[in-house]
Amino acid sequence: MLEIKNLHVTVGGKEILHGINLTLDEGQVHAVMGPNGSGKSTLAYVLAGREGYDVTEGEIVFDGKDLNAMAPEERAHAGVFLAFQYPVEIPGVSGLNFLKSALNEVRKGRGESELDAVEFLKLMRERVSELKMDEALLKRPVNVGFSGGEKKRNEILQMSLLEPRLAVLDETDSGLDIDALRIVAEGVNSLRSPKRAMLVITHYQRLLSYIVPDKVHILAGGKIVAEGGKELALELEEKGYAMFGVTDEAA
Amino acid sequence: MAQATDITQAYADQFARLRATLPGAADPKLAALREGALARFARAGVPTPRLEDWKYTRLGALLDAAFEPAPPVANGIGHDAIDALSPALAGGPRLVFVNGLLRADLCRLDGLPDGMRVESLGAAPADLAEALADRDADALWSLNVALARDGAVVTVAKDTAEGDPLHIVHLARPEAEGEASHTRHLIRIEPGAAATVVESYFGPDGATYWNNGACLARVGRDARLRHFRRQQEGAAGLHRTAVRVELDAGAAYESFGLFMGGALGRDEISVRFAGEGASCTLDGIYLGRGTQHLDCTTRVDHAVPHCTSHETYRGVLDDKAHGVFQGLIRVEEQAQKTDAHMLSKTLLLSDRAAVDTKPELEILADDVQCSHGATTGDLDPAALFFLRSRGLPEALARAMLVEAFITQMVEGIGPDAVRADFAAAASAWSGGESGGAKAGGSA
Repeated sequence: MLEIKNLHVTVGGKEILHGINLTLDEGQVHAVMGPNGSGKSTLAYVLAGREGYDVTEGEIVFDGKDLNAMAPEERAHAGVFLAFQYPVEIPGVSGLNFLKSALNEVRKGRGESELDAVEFLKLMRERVSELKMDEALLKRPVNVGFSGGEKKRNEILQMSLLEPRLAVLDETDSGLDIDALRIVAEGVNSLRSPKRAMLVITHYQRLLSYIVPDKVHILAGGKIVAEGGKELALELEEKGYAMFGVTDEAA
Repeated sequence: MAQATDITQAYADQFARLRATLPGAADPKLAALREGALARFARAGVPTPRLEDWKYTRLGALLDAAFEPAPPVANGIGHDAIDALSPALAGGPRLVFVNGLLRADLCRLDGLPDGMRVESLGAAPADLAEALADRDADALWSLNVALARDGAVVTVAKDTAEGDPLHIVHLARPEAEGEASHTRHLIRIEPGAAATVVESYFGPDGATYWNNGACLARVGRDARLRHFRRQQEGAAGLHRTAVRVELDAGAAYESFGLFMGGALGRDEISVRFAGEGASCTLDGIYLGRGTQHLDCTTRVDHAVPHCTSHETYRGVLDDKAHGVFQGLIRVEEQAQKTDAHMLSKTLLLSDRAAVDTKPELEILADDVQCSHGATTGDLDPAALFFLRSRGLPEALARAMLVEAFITQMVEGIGPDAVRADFAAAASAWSGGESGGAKAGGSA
């Protein structure tokens, strides 16, 4: 489904990713682990198409298409979803209005009919209760006044509504206490499906105790330095990033 | 281009022709008041960018020719047309001025709050001299004093409770080319009373007409006035209104302006604190596109201690539109414990749009809390990317963020009907889903 080949990415004139190779198949969950500054978020943003993240070499093939040639919204229509590490607050835009617009734009992009207000509310309420969210939050402007955990749950809510083919979770565990982490992980696990792939980007192993990956890639200094099964994450937890000869200022 | 002296002479001739017909003409004191105002206008002339206060705004067509008073219009407009301009306010009490003259047949006074009295300035009420005050005025205010034919004199009696908003509608007729209105309002809120007044301005798109409005508001001890202005003149219209507010001890004045019409608009508001413990909020949004020029100029005089003023203006400018925000806060030496804040934010949606902002603090007291800030920029790229990453096309994402920028201001409007009216007008401008009244007048 996703094939990243020799990907070099430059941000502000500086190369951050130096030739990444990564293949992700339908139904699989892969973890990308790495210390701060290793290029994890750059990888997430370049998959979602953020401006200023320039591919200088290599390619990203998603369902046979050149992802890099597509605008962020086209990627969303094609089924790419990025759960942000730092979800953006948007004062003045009501959460419900945003969710409805996003869902209907993605549905249009997939060639499906738009949902009317009643259908949308019914679907939204189902998903909100699955994630144990307070529905009143969605009447507020997007993410404004939300706690860290509420913001992350809101990201997972968006993912569950938009039903992407490929979900990229960028440090979804950061800033969460253990209860919030469990709820978010349950939300993610409930979305695992044979038709969907996930790329879980994280610094720490703890999220991977809840979202068990099929494969783990270790990213350091803008390169994949090791790959393995889920046991690699445990080994990393025990020995630290030093086992790959890198220092991690946050560890 | 005409010489400045030709223009002032043309207005002097106009005054000579009209003076016998102006309200209060028979009263020598009032006649002298008008003559004095005309003389002050003649000395100063139509303001030009050579004046510091007018540095960023050139009055264009007003510098080329004198605008004539419009003849009374007796027909051509009905209640329905006016209702359609402001559906959310349609049921409430209202006054309608067409080309600066009251149209009694279009007014609706049955819903007037108890304790609110409304008179026509054209009927020369007893307090005409107060309405025509010309102290510390600029040239256009003086011209308005000299030539004012009509306006509203609104008096809210002591301890009157807040009632429905009074809507004052100003319309220009389709044949208004070259015509001016010098409407003049006096609003008096007596001690302990509360009232809401909404002023709206509409006009035809095809005519270059001029609205030179003036409004004097006096808010008594512990009284409150909420004052809303919606400026949606026709596309070629010229609009200049000046509001002057005097606040007694403990009084509150809340103002919100939505300025989006006309080829050229300049809305001035000037607040003077005359008693301690009073407060004002001055909020506004200006929305410009095409080659519109929209100028918001404010002045707050803290002349006494313990008063509070908060000012927030936001602008959205597209195409080649030009915006101006000038805000002066002056704190006199004796005005200790003043709390005064001013904030201006402008979104420029095009490379050719521009804004001039001039926030000024003149503080002579030493124990005060004052601040000002001004930002100008494009939409937040992080928010734009977030929305697009959720599937919203760029144009829709941008429109949503522009509307949000405006909504944040509009949602702070207190009275439900006014908030609905302004939200619909602003949303129609930004192309949002909840668009209500059509832009432009139908008078």
